[in-house]
Amino acid sequence: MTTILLIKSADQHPSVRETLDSVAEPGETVYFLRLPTVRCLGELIQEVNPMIEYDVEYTISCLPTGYEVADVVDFAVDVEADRICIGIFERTLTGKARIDDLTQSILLHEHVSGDLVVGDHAIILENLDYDQ
Amino acid sequence: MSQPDENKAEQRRSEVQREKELVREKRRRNEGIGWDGRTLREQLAELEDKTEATGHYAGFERLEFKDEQPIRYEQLYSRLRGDLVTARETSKKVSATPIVEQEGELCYGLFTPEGDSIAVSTGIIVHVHTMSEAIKFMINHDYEESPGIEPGDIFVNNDPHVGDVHPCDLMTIIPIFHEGELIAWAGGVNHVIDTGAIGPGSMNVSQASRFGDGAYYTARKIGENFELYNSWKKEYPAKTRTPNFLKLDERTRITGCLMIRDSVKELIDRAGVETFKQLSREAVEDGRRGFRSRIKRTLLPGTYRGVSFVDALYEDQENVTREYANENHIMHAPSELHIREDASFQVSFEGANKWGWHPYNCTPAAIQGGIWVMLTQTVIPNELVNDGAYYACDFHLPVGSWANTQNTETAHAYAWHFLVSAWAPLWQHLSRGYYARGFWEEINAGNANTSNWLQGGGIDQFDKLHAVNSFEAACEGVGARYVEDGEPHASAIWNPEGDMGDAEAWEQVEPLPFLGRAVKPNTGGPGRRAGGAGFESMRTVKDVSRWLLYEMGNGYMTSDGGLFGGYPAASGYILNAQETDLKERFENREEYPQHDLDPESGEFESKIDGEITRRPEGISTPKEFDDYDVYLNYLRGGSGLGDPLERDPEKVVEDIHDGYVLPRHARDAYAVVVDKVSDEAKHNSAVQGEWAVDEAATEQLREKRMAERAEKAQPVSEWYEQQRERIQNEQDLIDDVKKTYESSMRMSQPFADFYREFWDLPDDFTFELSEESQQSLDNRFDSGIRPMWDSFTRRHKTWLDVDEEPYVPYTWSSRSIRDLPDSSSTFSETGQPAGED
Repeated sequence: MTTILLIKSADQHPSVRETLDSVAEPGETVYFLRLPTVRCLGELIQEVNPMIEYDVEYTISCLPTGYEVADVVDFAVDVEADRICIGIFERTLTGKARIDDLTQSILLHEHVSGDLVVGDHAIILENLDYDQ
Repeated sequence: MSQPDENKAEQRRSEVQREKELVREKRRRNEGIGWDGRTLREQLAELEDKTEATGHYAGFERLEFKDEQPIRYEQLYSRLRGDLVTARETSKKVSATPIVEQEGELCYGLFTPEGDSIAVSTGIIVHVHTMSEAIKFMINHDYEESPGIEPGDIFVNNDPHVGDVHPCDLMTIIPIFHEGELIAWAGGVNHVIDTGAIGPGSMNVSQASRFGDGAYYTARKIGENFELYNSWKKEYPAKTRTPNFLKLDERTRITGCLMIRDSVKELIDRAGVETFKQLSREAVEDGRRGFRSRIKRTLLPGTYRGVSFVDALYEDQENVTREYANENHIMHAPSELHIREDASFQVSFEGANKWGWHPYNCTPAAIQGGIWVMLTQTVIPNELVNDGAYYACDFHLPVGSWANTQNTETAHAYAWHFLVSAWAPLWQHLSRGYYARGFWEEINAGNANTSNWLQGGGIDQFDKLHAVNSFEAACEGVGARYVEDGEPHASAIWNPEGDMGDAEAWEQVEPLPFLGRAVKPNTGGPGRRAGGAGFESMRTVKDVSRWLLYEMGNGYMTSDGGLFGGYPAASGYILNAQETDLKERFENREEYPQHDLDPESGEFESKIDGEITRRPEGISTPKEFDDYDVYLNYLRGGSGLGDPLERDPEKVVEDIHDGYVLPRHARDAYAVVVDKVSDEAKHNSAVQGEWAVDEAATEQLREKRMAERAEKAQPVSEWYEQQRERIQNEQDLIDDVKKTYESSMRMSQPFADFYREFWDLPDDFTFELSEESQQSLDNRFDSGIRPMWDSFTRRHKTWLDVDEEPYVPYTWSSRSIRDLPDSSSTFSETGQPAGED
């Protein structure tokens, strides 16, 4: 299995931990894909230690300023990702996860589909299927 | 500049411009300067994660390159290593100080992007890791964002809290880029003459805190496009008494770094960047494995324990900068070395006492670097010397102790005084292991604190403000080996290629003419194998004004105890003469003192009139000296091995003829009776004449000595009872000793429990201290910590995790590492709290 973790903030420890804890399996490959709003994931990696604590292989990549959602999907196709995980940064007063533009665009993208799972800290698009 | 050099410089400048464009392009794509678009901090974080998770550097479980192309691997690594040595040998000629040019107090390293040394040059290889720490500091504090790390940048560091032994070791570090990626760092470090401390010299001793240590340059960018900033060029020369020397030292380091950069570029051109990357990773893992393999082959698993002490006496010293610093200190370094079946190597200093208001405090980089310099010469002389050793060793350095102050107020100018004294038991740990496995050639009685540092400054013979720092100390007696005597006046363990330097070279830069230089008798520790003798230089002072000099070394105490019944080397003392009649003696062609070979003979005093100071101490604060005053620079010897009564009497006569032992000392220390057979000296003897063994008298004397020993001997149980009573009733214990143990007990509950249990003392036992000592301890313990690092790397946990149980265990009381299932286990994981079964 292959997982993409979209990183919108260097403080995104809870969603990373939730994903590695409950979704990713030991031995699988995780791609940390940081958005242009994040310059460095060093501190996050030092905090989480994905290999020591979760036994996953991982690489770190980035998206350039002005990227489009299609770039995320292309990346997912390239690495044959089985799931994409996006952090939840805001909830409504009744506790519902607020879906931001990026998340919505991925969910609605015409070339990708999957099962939507909403966790405490992350939204996960599981069992990805690509229509290219 | 010659035309070829001009062309080379121009080529470098254009390369830098092209590389900078590539870096900026990557930045526009939100990529970092690390490999594959990562930032350096991401790369470091990932490396540490992978290394710890897999137990192999960067996760390299297989050395693919080495396994598949062993000859090519060795060729390329040897080429790199050779180029580092060439860089050192060539660039040291740029320097004008004998410290660099004569003694070679200079070292270069090539580092991975994450700051791990791949290879180091010869020289002061203590810096195999200190520069690593400086690079890791820059990475972990996001220098990539600010001030930026770009092709052509130049960085400086001398902050021991960041990565250095002490601030007089100035380092220059440059990044090496290839196609927009940072592929390596080149770094050079040398010992400078003067750091602009409160007293002249590189390692002033009168300051209470870092604010008297001199200038600290904390991992700073000082140039770009291989050009120093004007602001830097204007700043640092004004912060030292020896600006021209420091300028040339800096050019030395930059020269070497550029040579290393060229070497890496050439290797990449020849072999490809992927090969270089693979080589750099594999070399560190190879170094780690080499270390482990040697440990497995030469030592026995288990816990090795020892302790060392050294004095730092400041009571009633003049010119101490703060009243509250006017007190004596004794360093207490209890050490444990744990070696487990998988050859893990863990050193714990649990029980070390508190840091002090003196410049002998250490930082982790200093301790780790210092211990590796000795390990490279004992454990891994034939393996790759690089940061593989860093990944093969774990240290526990209690936070707040002298070994790891984590307080930026503490002074560190001469961290070596405690550092080298503290590693004395480590020599013994290793030697006992070698003995048990039959590696007798490897056994060494130890090389501890054998220095005096002649330092000072004022207005010199050229009417210029100047400072001096004699590095004759790079040539000292070394410890005895199991199979041979220690080498006399040979080297210093912190610079294995040490040399005393030409007297004339020192005289060119120091207004301190030599009156004499000689092997010093009775300085090597007696033993079946004798410790190497030290030597001495008698210096006078000429054509100076407002000139200061001071001493720095051990005094009452010697930190190396000798091994297997061998004796320690002689400890230090101070000999000065002021207001002398030397000028008149020169004019009248009368005898004058050239040596102090036998301090008890009165010979020195018979050849000079003046105010003569002899003190059995090793440290003095800066004192005024004038023309024709005299200063003895006495460099100590190494410790002995085995019972001196087992030394072949003929060897003792050879020692007399070589000037290592005085005839009367032959009787005292070796029970060898010698007779003078001729007044005419045929050998290199410090004592005129020829000597021969009186075999019958020697045999008789040795029998008598053995009988005396048997008579004096007592069962340990009796001795223990006497000592316990002494401690319990605090009889004949000076305040300095009580303060030392009290400090250790306050630093460490496990040590306190151990101490009380061992001596069967009440659970609430504490020493009664004088009001001054109590106040001093309270002041220091109340200071808390002021760490320099905001974000520690994962590897730092080995010395930082101290809340309950440190990562590196200690086994005071009745615990044993054999209770732990594997090398990564700690007692906290087994649910066994500190100090309990």
